[in-house]
Amino acid sequence: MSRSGNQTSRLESVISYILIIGVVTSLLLVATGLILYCLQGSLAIQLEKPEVYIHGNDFFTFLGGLLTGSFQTSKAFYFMTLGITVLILTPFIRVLASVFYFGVIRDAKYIMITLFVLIVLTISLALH
Amino acid sequence: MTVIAGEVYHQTSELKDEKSAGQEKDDLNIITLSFLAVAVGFLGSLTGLGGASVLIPVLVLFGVPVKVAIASSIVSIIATSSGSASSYVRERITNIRVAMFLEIFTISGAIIGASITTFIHATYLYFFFAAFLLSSFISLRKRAAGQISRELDKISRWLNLQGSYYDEAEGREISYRAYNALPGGLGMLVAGLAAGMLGIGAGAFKVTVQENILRLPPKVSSATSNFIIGMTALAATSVYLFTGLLNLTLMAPMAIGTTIGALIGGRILNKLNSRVLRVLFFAIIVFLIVQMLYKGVVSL
Repeated sequence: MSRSGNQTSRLESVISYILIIGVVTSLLLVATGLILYCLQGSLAIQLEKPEVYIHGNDFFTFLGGLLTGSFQTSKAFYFMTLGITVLILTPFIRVLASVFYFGVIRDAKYIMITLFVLIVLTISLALH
Repeated sequence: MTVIAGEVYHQTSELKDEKSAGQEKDDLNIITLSFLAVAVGFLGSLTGLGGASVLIPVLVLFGVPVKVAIASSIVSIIATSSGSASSYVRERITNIRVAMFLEIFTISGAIIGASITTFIHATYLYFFFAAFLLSSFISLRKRAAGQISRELDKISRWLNLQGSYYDEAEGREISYRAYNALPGGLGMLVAGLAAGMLGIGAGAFKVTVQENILRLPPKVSSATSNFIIGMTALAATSVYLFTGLLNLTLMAPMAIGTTIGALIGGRILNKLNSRVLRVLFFAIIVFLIVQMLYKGVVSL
């Protein structure tokens, strides 16, 4: 079953790792947040408190705020938000890796295709 | 007609009638939602229907505003899809070129769909959702008879959409080509639109497009579809992100629960006669359709 010499398999292992590491990291952070939330004595699903909703202006500023600690919220919600952010970043990094890969093998068509996906996502994340 | 701003009020006043606490939801808590998500993720992966299309109406049943349910669910789909996509990619069943090409269409559809959902009145969403659930009864797998070209068109040739994978059941490497790239792309635009609007993966629809229009082998179709779902969900999430609809106490148990459920489901997928489960699942769906229609009519 080996297809040695086919470079695509390298892209495949990189993408496979990005996906699994992203999802596992994210779910661990989310789980930490959930446990902290339960330890605060409440198991309730909140629908009305504003702090249970993700808020911000654009994703990249939001990400910066999250990492530099200027993000004001409880520890439980902080971990959950961090986990959800890692989740959002997972497919994003996957596209970045694809652009990079098609750049390395100089496949112009697929550089264009992956760049289109990357640019649309970046704009959509940066807006609001 | 209630106005959009009245939506939350409407939902909570209804809850108070059911003797629930106004602010916190006693009937549905973090633990019950987690278990529910595991069960739905498990059943969803066994029946191929996906978990979100069931979980959203269930959340609505518990009084969660439909837009919040949709937006929070699409985020958990990133986890469910990427988790299971990872192993298909490693086994080289997923066709990454086909996926990247089709993602142009699904993300465009998802962004448009999610934008529509943030603007329209919730009433429409109940009916769209009921219509979507109804469509799962129509056997999508029937071949789109005859009209699909069997010639390799210029675009598909230009895109270099061929591949091969090792089929364990047949014990050999299987080579294939993708045909009709552009009509397939348009089909994926529709799939993306539905996914973004309703907060679902629309996996069954994506697989149908890939099998019947692009004429990919079934295993490649479902693996590639799984891969695309994560990106489509991200595109929709990017629209919902700061609309104040992404609820942490919903997303956290849903993301963890559905992913675990789907992983268990995926492992025993071929070892189980899922006919009984399928009947049970469809019974649940009938109930959910009725419930969504009821919500829709009540909110008119």
